[in-house]
Amino acid sequence: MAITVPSRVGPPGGATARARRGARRRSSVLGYAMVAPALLLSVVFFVVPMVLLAVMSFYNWPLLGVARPIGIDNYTRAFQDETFFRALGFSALFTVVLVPLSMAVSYAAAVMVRGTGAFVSFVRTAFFMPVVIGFTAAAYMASVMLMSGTGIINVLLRALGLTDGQTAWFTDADRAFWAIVVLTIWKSMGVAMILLMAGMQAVPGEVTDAAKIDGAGWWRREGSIVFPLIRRQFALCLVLALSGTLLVFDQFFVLTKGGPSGATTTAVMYTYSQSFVRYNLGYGAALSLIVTAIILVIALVQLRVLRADRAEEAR
Amino acid sequence: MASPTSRRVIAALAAGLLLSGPLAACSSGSDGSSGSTGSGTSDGGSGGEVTLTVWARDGDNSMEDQLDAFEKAHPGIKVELSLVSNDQYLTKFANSIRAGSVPDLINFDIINAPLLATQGQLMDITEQSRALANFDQLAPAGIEVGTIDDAIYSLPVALTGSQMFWNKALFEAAGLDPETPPTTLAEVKEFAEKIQATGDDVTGFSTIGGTGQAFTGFPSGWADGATLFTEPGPDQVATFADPAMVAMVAWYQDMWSSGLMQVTDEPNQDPGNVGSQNALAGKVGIMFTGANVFAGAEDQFGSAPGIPGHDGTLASFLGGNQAAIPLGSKHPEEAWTLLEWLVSDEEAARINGEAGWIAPDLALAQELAQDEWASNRVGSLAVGELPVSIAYFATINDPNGPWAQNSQAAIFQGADPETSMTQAQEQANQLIRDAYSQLG
Amino acid sequence: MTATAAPALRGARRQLSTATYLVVGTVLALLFLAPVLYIALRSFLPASADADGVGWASLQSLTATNYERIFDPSVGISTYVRNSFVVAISVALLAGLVSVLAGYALSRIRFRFSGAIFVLLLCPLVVPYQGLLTPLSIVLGRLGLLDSLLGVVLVLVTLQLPFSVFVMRNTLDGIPPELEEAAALDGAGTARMLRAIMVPLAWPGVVTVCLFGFMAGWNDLLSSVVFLSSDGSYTLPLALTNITTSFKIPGVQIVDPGLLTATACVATVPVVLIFLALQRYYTKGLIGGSIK
Repeated sequence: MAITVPSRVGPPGGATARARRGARRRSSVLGYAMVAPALLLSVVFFVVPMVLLAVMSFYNWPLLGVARPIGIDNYTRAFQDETFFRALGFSALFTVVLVPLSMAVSYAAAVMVRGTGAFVSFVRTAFFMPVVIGFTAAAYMASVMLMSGTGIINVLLRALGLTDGQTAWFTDADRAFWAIVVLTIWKSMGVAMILLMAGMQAVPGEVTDAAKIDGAGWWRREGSIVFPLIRRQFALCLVLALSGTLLVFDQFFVLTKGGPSGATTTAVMYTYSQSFVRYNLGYGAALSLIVTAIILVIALVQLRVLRADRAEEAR
Repeated sequence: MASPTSRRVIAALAAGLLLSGPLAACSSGSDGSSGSTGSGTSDGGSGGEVTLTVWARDGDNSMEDQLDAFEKAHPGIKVELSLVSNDQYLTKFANSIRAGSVPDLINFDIINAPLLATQGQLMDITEQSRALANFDQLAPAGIEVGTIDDAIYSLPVALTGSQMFWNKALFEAAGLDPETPPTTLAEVKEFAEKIQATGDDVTGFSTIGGTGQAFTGFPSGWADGATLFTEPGPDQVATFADPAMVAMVAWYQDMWSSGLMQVTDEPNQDPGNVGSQNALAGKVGIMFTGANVFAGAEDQFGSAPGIPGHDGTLASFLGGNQAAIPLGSKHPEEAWTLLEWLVSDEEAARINGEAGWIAPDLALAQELAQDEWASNRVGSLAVGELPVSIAYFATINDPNGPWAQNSQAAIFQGADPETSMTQAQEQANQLIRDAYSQLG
Repeated sequence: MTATAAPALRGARRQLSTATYLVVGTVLALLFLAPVLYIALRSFLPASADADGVGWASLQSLTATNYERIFDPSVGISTYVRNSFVVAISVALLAGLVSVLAGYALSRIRFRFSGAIFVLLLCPLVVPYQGLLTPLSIVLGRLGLLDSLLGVVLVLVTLQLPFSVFVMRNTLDGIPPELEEAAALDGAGTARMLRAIMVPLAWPGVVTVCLFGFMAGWNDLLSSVVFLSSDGSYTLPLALTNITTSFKIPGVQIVDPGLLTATACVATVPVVLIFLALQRYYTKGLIGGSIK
């Protein structure tokens, strides 16, 4: 049976396009002036440091003392650095595991809290609360709760008969990995949940009602109607999640310090240790730029896909 | 053409930016010398009051009381203390050098002394130090670590050593004499076995010793005559594979695989809080650690002035803080007055003791030692040693560095000690070469 | 099935699903809140509670010593709290102001390079912040802003720009242009338009941006650690790290978990309260900021 779906959800009749066209009359000087503060901040505190970072990457830059230019030595070293590749691989692994799980959880949560009512509000707030806590504080909380023998999680596991309660979560790379996956999902699924929920709430009720009357079951409705309509929000969450997770640092820094034996060192942790433990600031700079380039490429690829959708819908 | 509206908007913009600036700046500037004017600048140009800026590591609780006492004893000099995160200490020091406003005195982890001295950022205090009345009584290893090419750049100000402790009650329960400690590593194992047999909840042995058990493991190697590094200098190499060091690692491996060692849940088996809590709760028989763990509960535990090796000699890891005057300090003379006071004054020594440290003047510390416990602490400093290298942090303290990773692979995962130490040695040599190449 | 029975069955099914929803929802909500509640509980227990085991029995040893130690006058926590508030509020206000202006310009005004500028403002998303710490120290040093709260604020606002500008632009996009056209016909200038129409209509977005800015300013640790070095300018998370860690045993970080959880609570409570109070806004704000 055919289900007709409106091709886009948003202000009716291409209002944004009209708004943008109509605004051409406004003075461009005004435009520049209004964007100037943000631009100024970005240039001074982002662009200039990035340029400095690039310059640093061509130097042997010690913590104290004189820096010496060494051409592309830092980069050639990076491409032969096995530990760096291991760290990149670990970040990639963490991302590939976390993002699908996190998106699934966010989606399910969004389905749960997209209704109205006081109780739904309560659940929504509860799901969102972990976002508010800083990551460092959350990591410390996790370390207290997961302490072997006496941490509350282990106590519960023992009470449920699943383990002997002595699990040391952070001495083993795999256990630490999964513990941090759960911690990260708990902490950050709230934002994606709200964004997805926003999209879902914009789905016109008539469409889903019509489908219900036509006999479509819940999964069919969700898959064929709702999901296509929130594709844009979903894509947005995906882009943010991918780049953010590849840059993961805090949790591993606090909980495992990259151990045991460097098994849980992420890419950013490795660049951090090069700069602030080994004091090779030039090399650390080169590594940071390489990581940035990788994430930029991935983000651009994703945006390409997103824009393809957009172009399609504007037709 | 900018319309009147745009001009108004721009004006509002400017006003907004200007407003939020002072909002943030005014409160940071209202606290004396903090704020964007930088640290170290004072007001006493006309011979009036001088304000010194002092940096110490976070968690350093003795400094505040000492500085209070110093101010009382030296009216005319005020001191502003800032606690700096240990991880970022050197980085921030480097930043302050670059920004041209360094603190007047820095109090830092003793292991950083070689690096700082070599980099030429500290004032040479050889003359003043040697002129000190109590120079010969200062802990020798503490002086040595701050000396490069016979010039002294930093002095020890608060020290601690690693020692062997034991729980007297558990000794008795195991039929051992609480006044007779084990004297060799073999005896430690023997005693630990007996203690562990007394109950389910009890562990025979625990080391609360820092990354890769450096604080508590090294002394056993040193007691048997091993070293970790050759002389500091561009030709320095690591000597981790020295047979005595390998033997020490092998002993720990044996203790772990025999189940005699306390399990902890830090990654890299670095027992922090739970380890010390268990020790205090009477669940561990013999502990290698620092005396600070037992503050307030000394009478339950016996102590030895050091940690034994395989043949009965004791050695200890000298840890603590050094202080130095950065080049570019605006009040070098007053800063020296403070430094001198910290290493020689009796009041400073007393406050050190109360806070759990030992004064650097060993004779003075011994005088102030009122009981065997304190006396053993001072004794451990006398046999205290310290690995000296500008790459100490990267080779030994870094949880992912060669010492930590290889020793842990041997101790906790059963890798062959000799192979692990040889590997660690090679990796460390590379880091040392890197560090020296950084100096240009 | 007869016509009369069908509605009754549907009614029963609806009741069952409502009940299921209530149960599942409550369980999940509690699960999500549990860690925070546990930390709050742990903060009222002494340091040795872990070695002894935390359970129902520990309820008997509830104590306020951790909090007493944190709020001890010698610690001077009021300075740090004040500094954190200054930073958080400054970031909130500045991020709000800057992003409203930029968002309006990018949404409503056509000017050359506006697309490129938008992308530039989004760029910090792909960069590891830790890598920028050293160059930022150099820049701040040159500007004389090292060891000042203003420096920290400016850096944090810049990092908030991607989120803030994106949300504001999208929120403003969602406001029908007819309103502006009508106001323009009435002779309203841009400033009046902003003040009287756009901002009020985009208010949820503005509040969201300010809220997340507040959160970033309040929770920030790394920037404060790297850029601040005198005690008088320390923010709360930084000072709390100082309070809870000690290095009396060389190389070993001894942390008192009672003190640690207490400080985590102190650091978290204000943000949580503010979010609870304003949740109506940010829900709408995130919604408005994401459609498109």
